[in-house]
Amino acid sequence: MKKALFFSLVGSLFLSVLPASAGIVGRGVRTHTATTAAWGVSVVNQSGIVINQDYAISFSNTGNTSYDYFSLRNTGNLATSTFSVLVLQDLIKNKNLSPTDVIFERCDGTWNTTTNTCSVTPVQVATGASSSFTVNVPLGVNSEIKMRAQTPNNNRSIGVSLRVQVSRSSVRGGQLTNS
Amino acid sequence: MIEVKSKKSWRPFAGAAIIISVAAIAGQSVLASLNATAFNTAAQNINAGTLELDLANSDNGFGTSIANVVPGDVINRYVTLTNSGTLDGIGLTLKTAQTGTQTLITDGTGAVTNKALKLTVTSCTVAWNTTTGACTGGTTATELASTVIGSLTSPVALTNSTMSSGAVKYLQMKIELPDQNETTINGALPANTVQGGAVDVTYTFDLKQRLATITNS
Repeated sequence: MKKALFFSLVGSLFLSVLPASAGIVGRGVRTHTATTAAWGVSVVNQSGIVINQDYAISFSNTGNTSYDYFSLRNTGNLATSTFSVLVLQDLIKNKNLSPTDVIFERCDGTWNTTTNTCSVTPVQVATGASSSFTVNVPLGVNSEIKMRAQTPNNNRSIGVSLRVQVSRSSVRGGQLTNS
Repeated sequence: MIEVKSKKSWRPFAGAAIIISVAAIAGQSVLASLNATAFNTAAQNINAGTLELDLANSDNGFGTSIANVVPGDVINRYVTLTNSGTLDGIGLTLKTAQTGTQTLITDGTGAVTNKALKLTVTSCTVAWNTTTGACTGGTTATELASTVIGSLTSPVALTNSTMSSGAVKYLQMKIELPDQNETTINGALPANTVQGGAVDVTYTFDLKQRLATITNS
């Protein structure tokens, strides 16, 4: 027992005086940060709230025709050239209603939500029966496209939702930079 | 009158002292010898060598962050390595340490298909043109083939791993995010996305001293 203790003590002493790694090492160190971009378009409702989920069209009765005003805003940090909007229908809800009567319009000016008019001629982009529509309008960061959905009063409880999709190809391609 | 001659008690001591002194003198004469000493009049100078590896930016290098990368982007940054020590170096290695968005550090596996940042290191025998990326008048060598950044946590030897004292290596650090498809729905980034991420990469170059040698001269 004493012998073992003696040898382990001598061994430990021997190892402790050996350098961890022999020789000199020259070292150069630098830290570098890289961040990536993001792309996306969201629906912004009439109250200015960004909706990061499927947007259910909600009609309010303002006479014979009901309207829902909303925007499609570029919430990423890259400009988009195009994006698509899926039109989703609630089949049960729409059993006795007519999705075809829902019209989606784009106003490249300003909507007047009191008179329900656009400052320029509005463009119809789809109906509630469409499966999707494509917006081929270049959209800068934080820029918006002004939209509205309208339907006859007797159709205002129809179930239609919108889903906005932006693919990789909708933003700039890869670039080579030297600096 | 009787004269009493007293016996002198110090006499034995005096006698002994005389004997010892005589013996000591005699002994010294026996031990005495000639000594000769030789030494170098000018001290021998012994210097330990130094090994210093300087990592400097060429143009932006690692000094400026890379921002807003999209899949398919290739970013070339340039740095210069210099062995500014007095010793020749061998075994030049590179390793990286990363913190941040995991999808930019390692490739996805199985159903997760994200592709992380990759690094390629190329050297030029002369300084790079950091505007065009050309190695004009020099020759290039791939020091590190394209490698996912998260796979470099252990040192990897560069192809040309020796650097003599004073040697300079002009390196192009090519960072790329492989092209890949992602669709963002309703402005919410998809799972395991490479979008909107950030990663801090620390590059460490190590150069070892030349092998120890025995010299006779």
